[in-house]
Amino acid sequence: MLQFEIDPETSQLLEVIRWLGREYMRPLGLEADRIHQPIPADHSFYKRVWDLGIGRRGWAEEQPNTATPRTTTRRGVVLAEEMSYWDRGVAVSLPGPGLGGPPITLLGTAEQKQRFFAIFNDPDRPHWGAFAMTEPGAGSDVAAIRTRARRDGDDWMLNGEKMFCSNGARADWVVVWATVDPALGRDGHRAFVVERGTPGFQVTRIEDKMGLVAYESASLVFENCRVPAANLLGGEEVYRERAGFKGAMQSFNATRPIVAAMAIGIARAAYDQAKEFVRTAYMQHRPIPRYRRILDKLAWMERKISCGRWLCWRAAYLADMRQPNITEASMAKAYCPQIAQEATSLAMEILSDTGVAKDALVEKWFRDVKAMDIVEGTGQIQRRIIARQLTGLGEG
Amino acid sequence: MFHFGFEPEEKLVQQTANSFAREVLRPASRAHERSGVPVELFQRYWSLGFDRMELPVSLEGLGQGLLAKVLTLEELAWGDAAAAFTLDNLSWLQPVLAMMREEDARAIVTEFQHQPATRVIVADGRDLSLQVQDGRVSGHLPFVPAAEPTWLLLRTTSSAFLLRSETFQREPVEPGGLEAAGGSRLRLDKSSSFWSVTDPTHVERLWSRARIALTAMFVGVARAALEYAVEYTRTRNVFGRPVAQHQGPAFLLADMRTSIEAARLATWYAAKAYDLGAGDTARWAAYAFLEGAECALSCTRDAVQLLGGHGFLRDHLVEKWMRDARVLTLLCGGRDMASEDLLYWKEGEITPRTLAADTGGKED
Ligand SMILES: Cc1cc2nc3c(=O)[nH]c(=O)nc-3n(C[C@H](O)[C@H](O)[C@H](O)COP(=O)(O)OP(=O)(O)OC[C@H]3O[C@@H](n4cnc5c(N)ncnc54)[C@H](O)[C@@H]3O)c2cc1C
Repeated sequence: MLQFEIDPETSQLLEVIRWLGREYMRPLGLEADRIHQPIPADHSFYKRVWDLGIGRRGWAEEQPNTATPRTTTRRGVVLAEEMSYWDRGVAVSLPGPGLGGPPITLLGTAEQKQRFFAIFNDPDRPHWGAFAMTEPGAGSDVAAIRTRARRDGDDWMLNGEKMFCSNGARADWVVVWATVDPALGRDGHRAFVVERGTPGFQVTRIEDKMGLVAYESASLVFENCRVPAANLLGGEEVYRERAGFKGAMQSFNATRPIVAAMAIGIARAAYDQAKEFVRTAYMQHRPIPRYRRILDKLAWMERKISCGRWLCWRAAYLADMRQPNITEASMAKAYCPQIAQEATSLAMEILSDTGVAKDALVEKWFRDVKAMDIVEGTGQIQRRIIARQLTGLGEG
Repeated sequence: MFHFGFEPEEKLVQQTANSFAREVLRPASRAHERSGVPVELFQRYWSLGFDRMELPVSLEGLGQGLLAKVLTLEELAWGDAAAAFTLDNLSWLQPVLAMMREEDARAIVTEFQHQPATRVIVADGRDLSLQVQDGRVSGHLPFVPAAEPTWLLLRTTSSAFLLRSETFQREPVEPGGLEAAGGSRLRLDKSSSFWSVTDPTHVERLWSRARIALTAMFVGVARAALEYAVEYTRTRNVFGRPVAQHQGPAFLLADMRTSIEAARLATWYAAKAYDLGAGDTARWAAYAFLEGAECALSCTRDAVQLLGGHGFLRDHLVEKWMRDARVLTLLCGGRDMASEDLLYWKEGEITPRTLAADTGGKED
């Protein structure tokens, strides 16, 4: 049956996020933006959320139950939207395995999962994981990464540079993608878990971003960095079985609707802020001359935000049903950041002069949301995927 | 949790509609465009039940919701939006029949049973300086998409009137799109109505249904255009490879696909709200209409573009769909009235016009 309701359990989690968002996430995000510094890893906020269970194993994950259909991805998009509504930068900075989680879950051996996820059971202090694919010379074209992995006795030697690694400086470990032979393209790729403190692994820079300042994006350098063979995700066999590896990579489709939902969260925040502005201006019996134009913009925002949300929901629903969702995930990821950018821009127009100040929030969201069209496959990459699915043809 | 599956009956009517669209409507598109839709097809449409899906079983209906209806309308309009629009008539009166006295409703249904080619036209008269006095309507409708409309459901500023053809005069108009439906201009001179309604929530409800049903057709015609363009660009070679292998056209196809998905989801949401009788249905109906119209207009235009000069020729159906979509999206007040209806504000929310006015919401 077609249904648009959110289940009671997820609604309860939403309440927790709303409280966290109001009390902590939004103020912290604004402060990070004001001083232009990521929130330090030892900030008491992280310990507080860690004590609530956020970032730790099992949080917001449903108990395995084969009798009812799973709701993991659906819950994921709903919670991601709400987190980003309060502050997308702070949301990404929250402790947990981050983007490093899925490759370990999908490729890792039982022993590796146990070893690398163990830190997320530590009751004492928060921990982070990270994911490093992008390099200064290769982003969308992941096949072009140049970080080299060479076998050396029982170890692997990594040499190369990574960029944009979210939470990369505070992470206990980073999932690093390297190639055994650049000529092999994606077939040459291997994923390693590199632990902090490994000799030859260095954080060289925190990127100077236009928005989303609350979390750090790190540049990493690997110089004759020796990684034990036991840290090659899944062991050699996974990569020999190309189909298995490809299958695992495709499962990353679950994260696209999540990023798309994050764009919706930011757009909704901008919409609410603009509505609040109109409401107060109107209530004070100072109807603004642009009133009708403003309502037109608000109606556009509400319509597009709703359509975007349903695209995310549908892609997530298919993932939960274990049905193919490549096209749906990419459609959500192509549509939502696009309309969210326009929505934040329109919100600035509605607030007009009031909206220019950095602490008016809409200006911050206007900057923050830009990244949603870039990360996890740019809008252009999504369109390539959709077109390929439609026509069965790649680019010649 | 939210769920995007459908009931077996919903899937069944959707499949039936798809076969009818594929086997009957699509192949006859040009014939219907030239000479209209033959009476036998109206009979067949009636016997298949498409026009009475939402009516209660007691009124010869199938007792289904608007959601099932929009699933079928998308398929039918995918086959040929002009014919689908022409064939679907009694459906537009569904909310009216539910509001009128049972015996009046039954009389109307009986008329359709005997004369399935009876046409119903829904028109927005709010922009037309109509005069309403003592329940009689006077004025001029420059275009309605029917050669011989039998029933006219007319929305005025504060009411909706159902008028019979005997009460107005008609002159033929040759439309530039949706030709299968035919066209006329109407003159109303103190025309008395068969039925009317002034309660804003009732007016809103029948308008919501009209908008949602039209939107499903927008999605159908857009999808037809996309599929046609995909097939063409896969096989036509330019500069040594298929058109679809060049990124400009490929991205256009991707955006068409995405806009169709968004419009379809908006239609489903609005139809579901309508079926549940949700208080904010009118807002979602207007949003769906806007999203769907945007989608149909751009997809059909882009499909012509993707066929290049050939798209401009009547050799292909895309030029017809572009014209059909243009006319179809003007109906029921078009995008302007849908936007206009959303320019109201109540308790901090965008609120449809009549409801805002009814409960003291203010305009600037
Ligand atoms: C805030 C932020 C956080 C990030 N976090 C991480 C992280 O944690 N880990 C990580 O590994 N990476 C991360 N990234 C990197 C991100 O994944 C890349 O920036 C992204 O994949 C784009 O790569 P690029 O920057 O090299 O741009 P390029 O790939 O060089 O693209 C430049 C332009 O070309 C377009 N383009 C590229 N290829 C094509 C094509 N085939 N057809 C048409 N157009 C094309 C792109 O759309 C873009 O407009 C992050 C980036 C940002 C901004």
